[in-house]
Amino acid sequence: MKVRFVFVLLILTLALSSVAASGHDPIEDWAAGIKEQYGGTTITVAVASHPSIEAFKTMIPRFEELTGITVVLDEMEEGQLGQRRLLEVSAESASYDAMMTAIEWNAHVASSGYATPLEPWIESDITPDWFNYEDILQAYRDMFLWDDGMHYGIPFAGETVFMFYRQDLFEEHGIDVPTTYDEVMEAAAYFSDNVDGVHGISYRARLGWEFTYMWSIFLAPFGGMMVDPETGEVALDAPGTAASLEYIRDLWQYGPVGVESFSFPEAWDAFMLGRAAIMIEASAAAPEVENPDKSLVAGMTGYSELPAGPAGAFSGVWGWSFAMMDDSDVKEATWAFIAYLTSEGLQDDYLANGGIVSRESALGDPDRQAANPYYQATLDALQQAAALGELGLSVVLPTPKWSQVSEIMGIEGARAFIGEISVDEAISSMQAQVSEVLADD
Amino acid sequence: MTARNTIPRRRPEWLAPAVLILPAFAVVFTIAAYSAFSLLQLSTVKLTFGEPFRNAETVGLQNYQWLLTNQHSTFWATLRVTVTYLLGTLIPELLLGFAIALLLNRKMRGNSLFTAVLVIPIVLMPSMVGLIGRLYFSYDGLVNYFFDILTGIRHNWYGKDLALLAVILVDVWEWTPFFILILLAGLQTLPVEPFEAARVDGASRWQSFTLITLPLMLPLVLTTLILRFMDVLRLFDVIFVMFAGGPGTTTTTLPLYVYRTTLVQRDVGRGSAASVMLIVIIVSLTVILIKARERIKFEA
Repeated sequence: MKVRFVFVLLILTLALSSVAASGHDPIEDWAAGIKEQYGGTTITVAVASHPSIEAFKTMIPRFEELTGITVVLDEMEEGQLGQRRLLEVSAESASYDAMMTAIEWNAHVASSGYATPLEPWIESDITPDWFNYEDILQAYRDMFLWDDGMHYGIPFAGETVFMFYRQDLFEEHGIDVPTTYDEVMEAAAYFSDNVDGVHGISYRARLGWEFTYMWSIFLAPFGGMMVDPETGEVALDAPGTAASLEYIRDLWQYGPVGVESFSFPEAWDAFMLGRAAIMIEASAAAPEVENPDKSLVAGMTGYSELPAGPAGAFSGVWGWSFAMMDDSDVKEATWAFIAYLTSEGLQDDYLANGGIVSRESALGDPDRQAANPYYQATLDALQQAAALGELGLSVVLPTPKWSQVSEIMGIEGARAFIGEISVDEAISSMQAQVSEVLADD
Repeated sequence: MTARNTIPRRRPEWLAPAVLILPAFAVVFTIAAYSAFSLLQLSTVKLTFGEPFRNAETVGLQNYQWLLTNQHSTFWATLRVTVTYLLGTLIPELLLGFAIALLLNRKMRGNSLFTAVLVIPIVLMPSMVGLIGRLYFSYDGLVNYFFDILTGIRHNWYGKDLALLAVILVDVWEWTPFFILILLAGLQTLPVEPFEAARVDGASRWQSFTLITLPLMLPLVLTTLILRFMDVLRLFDVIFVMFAGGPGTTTTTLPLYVYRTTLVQRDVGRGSAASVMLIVIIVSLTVILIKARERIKFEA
């Protein structure tokens, strides 16, 4: 009897193993088909240093093994990658098959024809079912939408801005989490004046794009805007623009010494070292804040959507994607690479290796939300970004000339911030310069 | 049959060296001339970096006019920062460098070790120097640590009042050794006889220094100044890493202005025009310094 039982068990085990080995792993099945058609191809991809790229690097060897496609990554610093893109478009030649592109670059790569529209590829037979494009948050997908109604990038690292606050300090001092910018000012003043070694607020204000990045978050809540959505005219001289600039300048007194030169790592450090009670910063800072090896305030931080200004509560979206170059001779293999790495099917690997979340299935998952206390704030901030979009506004103008606009705002705004010129002078200067830049658009 | 008595015609002495130098000269000259011509051409067009070059539209001298006269141009403010930075670095570096070179010229124990240590800042990568500067001059950095111990006050080196001084101090730290090394080498090659004669005649140390050392060293001092002067006017990395030209525009020197205008603001025309003006300034002042050096050398 006992021998028969063992025998049956053995047969069952063998049967189960043979079913498992019969190749019903959808990823391997898909990869086998790709290997048959495109195995032996080499693709070259330009990327910037980024946590998501580090995650991809751990996933690429398996992709190469499964598909037989060789991937050559040309990794460089973000600024260099931006300049490489500009040079390639100027010279009207592409030396890459795919490139990591930021939201700020999308209009340029799309309008110049450097990148190819991705809709035909998303709908192609090469795309596996487990890619699930619709699962990528719409706010992130739409960052790479161009005027022709096509998308020119598959987002993999989305970013929004929300408020970080020291839960322990707020509870200890009986202060409610601010829901308006007036309350932010009051809370920042309170902590600066009453808690030793703690400043009210931390944010970045370094000259150039970092100043524009931070300031753009405050524009719409105060009624400011870059371009009037109704007329399409430059509207930096709207009264709310000056009000928002004055607000962040007034908030400066409650920041750590040297905020006027802070780049984002310094703004994050000030908060992570426990020297600021509030931080208004990119969602990308949250995993760092919750990392006890790097942060003294891990587990003590609360996250909330952005407060409201006189004109409402708004946030914005930024992010990175993979774009495919129109000149590429190996688009099929390149698309297979993009679809594989950014798919829902490989999301667990991607997130486990430090990739930045950009899919609804991850952000809305209760288990993941419990493990990552900032997921809910991310979703809330994305709602606020959608509200901004409904007004026809955005934190990044969808124009190939965005970098010029951003630089002008970042210089003139930063000059007014430190009092080198008045707010009115700054607004008048940027209105004139941005109008000149966008005149030919 | 008579042998013809011919005198071989002598080739001019300059011919052989000229032939040897010609290929290298031709390559260098062609590249330099082509680059200068292209830059001049670009300074007269309206073109956004990132658009095909065929989109360039000729606008004559409008880019120069905008930079020099437009109310929104920060060119003059940038030039002021550049001049302050130039004087703020070259004068202390020369004075400190000369003083330390004079000290090291004496026979002291540990001279060679000290000289070797001096080379370290020069050989560091400029971006690394910028990063070190950014960390040291932060509010909780090393510089404020010592200020706190000595005076009980910490300063905001990241602020508009002290940011330029911070980058100047970093430059002085990095490049004073350059003056020391060159001037020390010069001091060690000075002839001994004039100093001995001066001592016999009862000259004081100060008189020996001002009447013998200084005139003999002046050509070398000017050569060193010319080298550093050209370098300072091209300096980019350290300031970029430390403050990127900010806060406001307090540390935006001309090279940073050229970078921001051309590559960030993507205005190729205005960036090239600013670049041409920077080159004109460097070349004119270098020619003046070289002329001064030749005159001094001749008089010496």
